[in-house]
Amino acid sequence: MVTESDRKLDLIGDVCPYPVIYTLRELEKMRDGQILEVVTDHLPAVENVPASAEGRGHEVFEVTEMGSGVYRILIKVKVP
Amino acid sequence: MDKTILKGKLLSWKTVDDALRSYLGIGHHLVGVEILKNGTSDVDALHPSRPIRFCQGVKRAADEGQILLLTKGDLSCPNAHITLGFRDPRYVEIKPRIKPAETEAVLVGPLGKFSKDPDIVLVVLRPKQMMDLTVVIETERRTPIHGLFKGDMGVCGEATAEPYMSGEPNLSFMCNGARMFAGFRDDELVFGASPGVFVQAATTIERIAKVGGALCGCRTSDLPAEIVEGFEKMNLSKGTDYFFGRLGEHRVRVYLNKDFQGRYTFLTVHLPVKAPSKKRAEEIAEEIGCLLRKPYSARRRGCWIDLSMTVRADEVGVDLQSGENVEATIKDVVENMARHLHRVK
Repeated sequence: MVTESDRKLDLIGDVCPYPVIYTLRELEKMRDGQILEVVTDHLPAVENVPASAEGRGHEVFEVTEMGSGVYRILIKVKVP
Repeated sequence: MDKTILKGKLLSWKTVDDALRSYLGIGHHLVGVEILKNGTSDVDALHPSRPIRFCQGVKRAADEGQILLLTKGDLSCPNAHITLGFRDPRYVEIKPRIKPAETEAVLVGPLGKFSKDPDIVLVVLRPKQMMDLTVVIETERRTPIHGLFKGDMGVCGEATAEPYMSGEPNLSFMCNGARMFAGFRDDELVFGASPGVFVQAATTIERIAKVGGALCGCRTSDLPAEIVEGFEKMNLSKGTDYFFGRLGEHRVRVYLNKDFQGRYTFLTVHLPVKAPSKKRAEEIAEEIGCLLRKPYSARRRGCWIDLSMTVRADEVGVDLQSGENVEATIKDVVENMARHLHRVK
């Protein structure tokens, strides 16, 4: 089953620290329960985007390789 | 990791720090890094008041002399959690990183304040300084340094985790994070290696300073103006790292060298003499080597014989600052060399 996202960030070609910066900035604009899809081909971002989102209380519920070293990260916004 | 690097070498980490800073001409400190599995250190270190990046900690240690104990909670950059071995990656393999991930804390501080051996030493340099350091390292190492860098996780990964895991020195052109958040300049890079590499480099610098030679002269552009003027009055011209010119019928070179404290202490007079053949040069060098006593020395270099003498300037009554006795001493040395040379030629 493919999860539909409310917003999508295409970060292909972006390297650290930009994927984290762009992701956190986008999450701040979103409402509780919405889903952000982040697409990246930068391996460290596959680790540090989820870690940074979780560090701010959001829920990372899917990290999958879409092929050719491109990864999709799905984050559910949690607003306290 | 060898914990007895300094044993028997009569060096301290402060001496190593001072020697390299002086030689490379850097105002900031070399930085020691210790990877701690138990989260405590016997060094008097502070946690940062709020989370920082590892590269920021390195910058503070280098520029401000801060000693910081960084736990996972003290580090704001998630990359450093993985590269420095605080945790394993969850989704993809990340390289370089410290494995197994058993790190509890990382101690970062100016090298000169370490009493025991750090695991890794970092130094922030400009390209020319990196070149100078490489030459000194390679004098003993004799193996080229292979750099592994990709502009990502520069200070924590490429300069720290990579040499920690491989045991080989590595240089990094840093990463965007290090320049954006830690404030490293665009013309700076970072070199990381096990402490033994730096001890060897410091030892080489000291040896070079005592022995003299093409490598060793302090850059004449760094010398105080009064010293330069003193040599110019003797009709000696300024080379890159030596003064050169004619004294009587002889072409001479004069090198000045610093001691570990960065003071201009050693004076080397070098008289290169050309022989008609390599074989004859070898014979002359051997014969004159038997006649000359320390601190004089004779070495063959192709068809040339390099006669040299290195002394502490103050021991022969020379004051480099005021120029007192400089000319007379150099002339005496050259005449003595020439006299011996005449006997064997």
